[in-house]
Amino acid sequence: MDSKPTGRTVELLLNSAFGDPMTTARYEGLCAGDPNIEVTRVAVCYAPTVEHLRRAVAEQRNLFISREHPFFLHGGPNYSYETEGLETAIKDDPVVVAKRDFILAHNLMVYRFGAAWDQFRPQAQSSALARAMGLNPTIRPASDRSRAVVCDLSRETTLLALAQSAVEQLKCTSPRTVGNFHTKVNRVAVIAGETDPKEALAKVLADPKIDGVIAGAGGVIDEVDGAISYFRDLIASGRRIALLAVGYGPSQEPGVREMAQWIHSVLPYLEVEWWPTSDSSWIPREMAGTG
Amino acid sequence: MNMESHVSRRRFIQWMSTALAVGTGLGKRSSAQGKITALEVVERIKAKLATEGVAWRPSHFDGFHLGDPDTALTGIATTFQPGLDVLQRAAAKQKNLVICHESTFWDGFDPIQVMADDPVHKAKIQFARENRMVVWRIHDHWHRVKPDPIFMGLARKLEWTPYYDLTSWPGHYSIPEMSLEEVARHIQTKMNTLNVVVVGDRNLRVRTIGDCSHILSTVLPALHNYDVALVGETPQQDSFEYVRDAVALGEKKGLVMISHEGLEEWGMEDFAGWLKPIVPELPVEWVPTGDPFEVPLARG
Repeated sequence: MDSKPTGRTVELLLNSAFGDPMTTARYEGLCAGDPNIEVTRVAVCYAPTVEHLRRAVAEQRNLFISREHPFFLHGGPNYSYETEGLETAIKDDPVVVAKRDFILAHNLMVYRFGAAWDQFRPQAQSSALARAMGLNPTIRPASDRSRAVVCDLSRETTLLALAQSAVEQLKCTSPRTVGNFHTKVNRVAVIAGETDPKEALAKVLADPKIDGVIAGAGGVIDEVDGAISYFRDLIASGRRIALLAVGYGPSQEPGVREMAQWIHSVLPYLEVEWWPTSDSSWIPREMAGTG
Repeated sequence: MNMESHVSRRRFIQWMSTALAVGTGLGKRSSAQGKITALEVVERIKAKLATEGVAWRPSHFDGFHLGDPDTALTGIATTFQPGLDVLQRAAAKQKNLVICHESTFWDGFDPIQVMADDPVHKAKIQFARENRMVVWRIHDHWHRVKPDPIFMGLARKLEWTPYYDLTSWPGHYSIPEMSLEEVARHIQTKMNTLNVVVVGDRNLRVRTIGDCSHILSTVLPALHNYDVALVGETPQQDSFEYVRDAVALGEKKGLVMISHEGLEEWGMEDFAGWLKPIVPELPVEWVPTGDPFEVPLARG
């Protein structure tokens, strides 16, 4: 390519790379900056944070391709409650205004590429998470649209050991568990992001040999929080199973890294780099008065 | 947390189907045989609420979700969410009416037909049937009592009631100044759980903490007005990222996330005390739902 593509051109190229038309999704595509600017270099990240934006200016890199939205509009079909009222609430929010102004002032662009990636590779994020934790996901038929992947462990371990592995491999800082974390596990379902809604989760866990789940987060109320409540009831019904939540962002990072590799394969003439987004959360390790 | 404004027509129809299924799907009605029934207890609750200025109104959530309302009662358990383990513990204590704040079948609207063939769903219904249990939910109407008992319960549990102002919007605590880490440790200790996840500078000086429910649109008012937002299991992909960016931009803010149970459990503990005077013939006991999350590497 003789001239550098614009942000809009990159969007068209990526959307056509899968060969099928992408279903329109809320809050996707080029969502910040002027799409007609020529792309210098590309940073691929989970979240286009203020820290990343500043670094991009310093390194003269002007296109972000991110999994999350720069202005916190996650959206998605299962998240109507989460997104209710948010567009109005953030309209004049000082953080959003500051980010938007910074992006415009420095000729940056942010292209959100989450729903499309999930649509055409529904298990990519979960498979990458599994591999990052040293697990080997079972290949599933292309017709299977579930986000979850299933991994048979080479040797029995405990959920606690998997939590320790997550801390080391994913650099997650707030792993949490549901159920007895000493539960011995041989077959785990891995779900990047929030656990599936209860119907989808129940379908995955219909395999009675699954004795562990690794997910990003438990989620919020209704469909997704319902998954954690369902999981507790599953345990109360006698199933020996436990769940590890490694954190939403840390669960998505391995998939974002693989997405960056794929983007580079589609746009080989552009410099594309994966920028990890650190886990921002922490948990005090000992309660007051117990240390 | 109150979600009335988020109800869609589709979900309402779904909920109506659920209500009908609960009313007709559990066999023939039992005879009360002179003992007080679940329905009679509910009528007393409605009457007491009315004396406190809360008239009973149609609700998408509040009502019978499991069992026969005419069941004769042996005791009453109050809880946050009627999980199967809660039903098991209530049954062991001879409490066959469970009064809860949140859903029975893993969704705010309890559309039981969605999971009708699920083995866990069946096990839960079977357990309730075998133990002649009834589940009745009070969500919206309990929130309507002034001051909101759910938030007052949280303030009591945190031992911050003297610092709490529910007349502001959002409600907030004005606490003796401490660091964000000390705030988190205080909450851990008072709630007896390590499951307190924080975003922000550990050394942030905190004097005010704002209420919110679960989603970023409710977190923002707390963050705009106070030092810290105290939230119940929020989506990390937006709330955590917002606070990260706010801090990066120089805002002196923090987010403290506890479980949904940790936020609202205590108001249902107080419901037991509220209920006892109007059902003197029955034992009433709070059965905790408990925090679903543990922190496995606390001392690792």
